Amino acid sequence: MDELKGKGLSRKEFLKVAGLTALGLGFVTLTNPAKLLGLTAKAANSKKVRYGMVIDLKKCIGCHACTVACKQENNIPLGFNRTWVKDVEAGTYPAIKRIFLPMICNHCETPICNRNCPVNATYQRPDGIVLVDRDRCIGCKYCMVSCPYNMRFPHPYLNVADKCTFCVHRVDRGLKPACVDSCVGKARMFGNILDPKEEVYKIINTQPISVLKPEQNTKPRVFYLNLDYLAVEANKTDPKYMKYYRRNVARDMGLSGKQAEANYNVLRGKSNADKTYNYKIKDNINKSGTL
Amino acid sequence: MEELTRVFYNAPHEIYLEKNIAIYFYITGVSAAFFILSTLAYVFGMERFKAIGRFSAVLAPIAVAIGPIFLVIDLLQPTRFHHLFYMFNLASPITWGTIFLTIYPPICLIYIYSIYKDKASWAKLFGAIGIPFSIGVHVYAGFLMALSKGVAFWNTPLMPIYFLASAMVSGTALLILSAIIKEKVFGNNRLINKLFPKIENNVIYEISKFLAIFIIIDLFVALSDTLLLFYTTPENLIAGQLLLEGEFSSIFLYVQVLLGMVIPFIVLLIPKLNRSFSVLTIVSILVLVGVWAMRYLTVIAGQYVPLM
Repeated sequence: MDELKGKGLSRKEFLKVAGLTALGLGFVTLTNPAKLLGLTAKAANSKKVRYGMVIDLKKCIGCHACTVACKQENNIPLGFNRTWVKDVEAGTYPAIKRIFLPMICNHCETPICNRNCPVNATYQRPDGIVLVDRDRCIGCKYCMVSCPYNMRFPHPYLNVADKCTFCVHRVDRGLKPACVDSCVGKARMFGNILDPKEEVYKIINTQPISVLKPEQNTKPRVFYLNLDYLAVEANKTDPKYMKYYRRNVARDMGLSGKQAEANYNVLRGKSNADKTYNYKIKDNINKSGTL
Repeated sequence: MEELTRVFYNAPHEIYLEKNIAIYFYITGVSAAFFILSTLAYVFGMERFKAIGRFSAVLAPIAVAIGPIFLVIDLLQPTRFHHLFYMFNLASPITWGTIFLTIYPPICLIYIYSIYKDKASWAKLFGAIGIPFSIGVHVYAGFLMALSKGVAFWNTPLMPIYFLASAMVSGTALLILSAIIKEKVFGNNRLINKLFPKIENNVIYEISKFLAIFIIIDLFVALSDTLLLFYTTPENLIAGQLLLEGEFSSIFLYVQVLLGMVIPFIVLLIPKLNRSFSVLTIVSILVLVGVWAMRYLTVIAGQYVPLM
């Protein structure tokens, strides 16, 4: 105030100027938001929102923090994942490397799960997020065999199809998905891929990006930077993969083959052994869930 | 690169559609074939097939009434099956199936009614309308599998044709088997003789010729389908290896191809053997087991192949 006085402005004059300036700012805000926000006129006029994700694989350290954060955020039951990090060792000693490939629902532009759902339980929001309506879903499991990315699973307690939602409850409140916020290397980036101010927009439009299975014509909206195709091809070329996998899972859990099978059945509510436990959890989960 | 890469961690691709679905495909296939065989007499005017046509027309809706029970059991939410009728999505093959499964049984019943009331023109009309619906009620399942991008083994344009070919095989075999049982076991049963006129032996022999034709078509489609597995995508290659040298090789090679197709076809060509009811019984049972192996392998083995 002292400085203003020194320049010959009285308190009254200052208030007048300040008021006019505020009015003017208000005017600018009302008439030309794009200029004020620094957007190009085209993007501001279209006002389109299309959420997408960019995963920089050079920054992924394979810590599985995204997997854990997703399970905590969305209350995912034991044995299932909405996102995970595929872990591949490639090469022969001494030239050897470890590749990490974070996997998440691609929220495709033309989702085959949406088109194949017989009861319209799977739907796509205008901002591109593909969701499952849990009250409509009949659990025919057709979406699970339709998805070329293997991103859907039967929810063992709600008995409906379940998948990644891009943490829609967080995104709608202006936050980022749990996997993005928890990523220690900032490998995962999330945002409106149509907004030139966003980091994802800049990367998609300037860097050599790749998507998984482009030949399936699903137009994925999860983009990978520095994608190593050894990771994509790894178990495709291994015919004994399933047997190997089952053996390893059983060994890691310290179970025999039969015990692993029983465990699997309990997880899916197919066994009578643990029914009371299942029902307890069923009662505790709100039907609308975390969505 | 299989020696150079090793997967340390990945989420597995589970088997979501199981035996119930295979049983359902088997039953609707049989029903479709029953209906088509019965129209030989009542639509295409081959008078000698009238008795067996009446028999198979009655069996067709019975089969299709049992089938959807397995579908509903397989749902995670069986009590919500009614969503299919008013929340439908016309782009989904399951909705096509709902439409076919709703319209086909009434057509069947009208067709049977007109056969029993001797209304030849009605039988001809509803038989003709029923043919595309009976094909649709089974072949939509082939499209269902062909349109799922997640299972490379199913994602082939041959799948609906493969389904139709094996449906005709299984339906014809079951018709021969039930006709033999009807004549030999219930030949003196008054009620059955009242409902169904006697089926002549020559007619059964003639139907067994159809069986041979359907088997060779099915074998041809199976050959093209399996051969193409080795020349397309890596997932298809794994599926082909599973069928020819992996976990499912014994079921595929010995049960489906050898016992289910090759041996019955050769036996049906041998002049004296194809005139014996005991041989025809064994042949049709072998064929039925072979087609069951085909259904089981298509549903289960396809999902054994890992993705990504």
